[in-house]
Amino acid sequence: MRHFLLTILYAACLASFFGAMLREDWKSGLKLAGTLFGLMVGGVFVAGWLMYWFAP
Amino acid sequence: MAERPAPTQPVSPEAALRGVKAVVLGWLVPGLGHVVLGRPRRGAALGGILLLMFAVGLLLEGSLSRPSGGSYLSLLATLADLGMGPVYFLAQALGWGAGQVTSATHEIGNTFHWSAGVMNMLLLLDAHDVATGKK
Repeated sequence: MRHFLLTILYAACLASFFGAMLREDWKSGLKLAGTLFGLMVGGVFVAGWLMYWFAP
Repeated sequence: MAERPAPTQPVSPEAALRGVKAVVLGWLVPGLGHVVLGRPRRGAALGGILLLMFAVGLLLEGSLSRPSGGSYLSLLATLADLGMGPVYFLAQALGWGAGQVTSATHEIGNTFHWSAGVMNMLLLLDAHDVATGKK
């Protein structure tokens, strides 16, 4: 569980950083951050599900 | 047929100097480059995120990198950490970067502080673009 929470924290940091850096207005920055966060967390679930099939 | 890219506008010497100043200040203190360019809230937010990531990396017992034994990977890792500027040297001097290789979160910690360094390099490029009017 701790690893998952750290993944969430990492995704939140990256998403808010790129949202603030790459967009000029707060609204579109927030939208980009939300999209990036969703993609990263979703990617974690997909990667976890794929790895489940190869677990020993 | 693809359109040709617009010709690059020449950068004035003043803007170039402003860009260098923003890059140097942004390396000395993450986010300061944007602050001196008149974007204080953005600079504080971006710098704060990077310092938080760096601190979390150390709290998770990640170890700050140093070149060792001619290993290219350790050199790359050190370059990533150097992106944080004097914060990296300060943490080394205070002994915060020793890390604990046997810790379950060691590699996650490394990921945090390496990412913070590389992201600060991106922030420096952004500050340079803002200063020279490319953004």
